[in-house]
This record gives sequence, C-alpha cells and structure tokens, in this order.
Amino acid sequence: MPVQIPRRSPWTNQRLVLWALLHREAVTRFGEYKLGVVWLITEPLISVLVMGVLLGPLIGRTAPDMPYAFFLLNGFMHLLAFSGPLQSGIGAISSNQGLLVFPKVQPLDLVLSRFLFDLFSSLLSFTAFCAVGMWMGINLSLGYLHMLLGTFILSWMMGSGIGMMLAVGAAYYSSVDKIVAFTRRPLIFVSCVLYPFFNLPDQAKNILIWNPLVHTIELSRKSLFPLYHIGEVNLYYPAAFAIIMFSLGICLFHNHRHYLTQK
Amino acid sequence: MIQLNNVSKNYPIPSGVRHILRDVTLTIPGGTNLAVLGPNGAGKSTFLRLIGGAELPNSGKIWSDQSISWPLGLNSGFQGSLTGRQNVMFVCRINGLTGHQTRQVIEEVTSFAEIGEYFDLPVRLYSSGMRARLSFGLSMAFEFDVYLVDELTAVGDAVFRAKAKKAFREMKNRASIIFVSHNLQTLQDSCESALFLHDGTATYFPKIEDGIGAYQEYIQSDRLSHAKEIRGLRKAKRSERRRMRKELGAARRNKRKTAEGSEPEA
Repeated sequence: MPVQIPRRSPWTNQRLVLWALLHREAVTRFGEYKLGVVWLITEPLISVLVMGVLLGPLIGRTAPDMPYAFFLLNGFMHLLAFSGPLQSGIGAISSNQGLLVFPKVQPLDLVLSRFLFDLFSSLLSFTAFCAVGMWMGINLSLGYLHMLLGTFILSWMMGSGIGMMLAVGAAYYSSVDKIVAFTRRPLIFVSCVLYPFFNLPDQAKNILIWNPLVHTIELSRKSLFPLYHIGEVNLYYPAAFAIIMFSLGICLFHNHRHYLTQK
Repeated sequence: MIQLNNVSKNYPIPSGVRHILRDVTLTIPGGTNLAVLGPNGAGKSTFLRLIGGAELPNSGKIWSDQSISWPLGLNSGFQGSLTGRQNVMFVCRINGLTGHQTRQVIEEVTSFAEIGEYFDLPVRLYSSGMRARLSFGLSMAFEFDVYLVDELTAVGDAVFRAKAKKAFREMKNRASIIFVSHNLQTLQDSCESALFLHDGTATYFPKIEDGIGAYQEYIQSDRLSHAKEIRGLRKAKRSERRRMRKELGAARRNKRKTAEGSEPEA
C-alpha cells in the first residue's frame, strides 16, 4: 500500500525541509570520513592553533586581559561565521538543482540550509574549544552568554545577507566566485582578529570603526572575559547593518529566484 | 482536474527569450491518463515541472484540486554522492513521515526497484535503468492522485517495463498519469487523452488518436518546410557563390587594368 503524505502547516513543512537539508549537508560533507563529527569540530580550530602558536608569544602581550588563544579564536570564529556564507551561497543552487523537483524544496531553502550549517558547525567547534579551555582551568565568564550568542548570530546574519546577494551576482557573472575567494582573505587584517581594537592608533581606529565585524568581535570578547577593554564599539551599528543586509539579500534573492533556478 | 489560466513560461537565452508556453488556457480533466506529445525541445519536461510545482510560470496561474507527484525523471531529485537509501530517506524526511511509514516506503522501493546491494551504494554508480527503477519505485510508494512520468520507461529493460505497465494498470482506479514519451506505442497502450505541445501552444485532445494524428501531421509538415528551407538555403548559397565569382573576376580585371595603367608612370 502506498503511503499517504500527511498534511502539515507551512511552518512545520519549512522546518522539516530545512532539517532534511541540514542532515543531508552533514552527510555529504562529513559522512564519508570516519569520525566525521570530530573533523567538523577540529577543522576550523587547526588554523587557529597554528596561528596561536606562531603569533601568540609576539602579539599576546598586546591583549593582556585574556589568553591569546581565546582572543584569536573568538575573532576567527566570527570571521568564519561571516565569510562561510559568502562562499557557500554561491554553489548552493547549482549543486542541488536536482532537489528542486520536490515542490516543497524552494531555492531559498537550499541557500538557507547551507548558511545554517555554517552557523551550527562554527558554533559547535567554538563550544568545544571553550569546554576544553574551561577544563584546562581558564576562567571564562558565562554570565554574558546571550551577548556572545547574539553577536555571533549578527556576524552570521551579515555574512548571510551579503552571501545571498553574491549568490544572485554569481548566477549572472561567474567571475564573482573568484573575486570572493580572494577578497575574503584580507578580512582577517581589517577585522581586529589578530590584535585588539583599543590599542590601535587613532587614524586606524577611525577607519576600522566602520567595519561592523570589529564591533561584534570586540563585544564577544568582552562577553567571555568581562575585564577585557573594548574601545568605542557598540551593538546597534552591527545589528542595524545585519538586519539591513539580510533583508536586502532576501529581497534580491526573491526577485531573481526564477533566474537562479534556470541555470 | 488541473486548470491552466493564461500561463506563460519563457527562458532567457543569449539571443533573446525562448517561449515555452505562450498564454495557454486549458483544463485537464481528472481520471484520464494523459500523453504529452511534442517535438524535442517543445517544453514537455518543463510542462511537467510546471504542473508538479517544481517551477513557477512567469505569468498566469496553475490550479488543481488533486495531489500531484513530483516529476519522475532520470536525473531528478537524486544526489549522486548519496546512496539510494539516503536519497529515499531524504524524501521521507521532507515529507515528515513517521519512522514506521519510512520503513514502509523503503520496503516498497526495494521490492519494486530490485536493485539489490546497489541500494546502499552512491547513486552516481547506477546505470540509467537502475536510476529509473529507483525513481519510479520511490514515487509509487507515495499516494498521489496524479503521477508525472517523464520518459522513464524508455531506459528500462523488459522486466522493468512490464512492471511499470502492471503498476499503471493497478493504480488505474485510484490515480492517473501524465506521461511524456516519444514512444507512441507505449503512450497508446496506457493513455486515453493527449496534449500536444509545439511553438508555445498547447492543445488538448480528449482522444489520444486525434492527438497522435495532429502530432504526426505537424512532424510531416515540419519535415516538408525543413526540406524547403534547405532547398532555399542551397539556392541562396549557389547565387552567392556566383556573385562572389563575378566580383572576384571584376576585381582581378580592375587590378590588371590599374597595373597596366600605372606601369608607365613608375
């Protein structure tokens, strides 16, 4: 006897589709490796560890209020949450074209599920690293976890908004892919990942303060180590930036969804 | 019943816009197996995708009071790097089936597809026949009022074709099929009505014989006009060649003349 598909509310359907896509994404990316989850957590950490070992003794002196590994990791994870979606939105539709035959799967689902996967995987490895740190006896403050999570999601939202615009752009001009690949590298230098903001000379401060990532990164450091000194950063600027970028991205994506699925 | 109201569908191509459907209004009554006919590139697969809701029309509305399957095609809906089982599980998951129902679906698919251990190997290793078996078995495991079948039986072996035919016959009293194929014999065996697509238009024929007649007539006339076109092209080419030869001769004569004229001066 054939199985009848149960009728559900649009909201439930949406959740089911996103969940199924996330599950699939996890299986395709890490399913074929043994210890897939371990890779998922350690992959982003390895580059941080290398940096930390190389640069830690040098720059560590400039960030006195927290261990340099955590200083670096915090910025690095924000950068990952921001720049992951920039790249992953671009191939999301073309590599999952076949799934669009199911009417429940819409183009936006394909992109959103990839973004969510980026968010969850970076959050997971960040949590793991913090757990290891606490086990080693580093004194993390857990009083401002909502702030930590909030800034993290803001960084991710900015990236996702721009990622959706780039996905539309890449459908029209294929060279967008290449340009994104090399423009995301210098982000590490202009986002205060390697050095603290308050120590910078005023000229540099005046320019970098326009970068919303600087705000979220500094605030998330403060939330883990309340003694850390942040400069003139605030939450409203990155929040406004994130909301505007995300809405613009969704609108642009919605307007071009016909074109995107025809590739 | 499926209703199309002023439906238009077009694709941008480098040299402009390609119209698949142009302002089509028609009604497909329920309970009849429909054959979709048309030359290559007429938009048969696109028509199925529109009806199945996999793609949206550029303008107009498609309305139906029946549950319609996704279009069953060869490379539709499967992720090559995942195994057959994982692909089936994915479809169960987006439809929110319970664990019991999922097991039921997997059982149905394995017993219909009969692909053995390939079910747990990545789909990219499948032959096209195995893909067809999996795709067909998967949608047959779900209950729909209308099944959209896109050229699936063409790649199957005799066993699979016999199975598909049997499945069509069994579900006759509970569901109908919309069938795209170039094999007129298969269509005539399993369908009662026909839809003929060409040059942006769609015409519904309640009797499949009429539809096939119109289709064959179109192909005949198309072939004739094609032959005419080729003849015209050849003629144009010949006259062009003649013109070129003439021009070349004139140019040569001119050159000689100027050469003779200019020699004394040099």
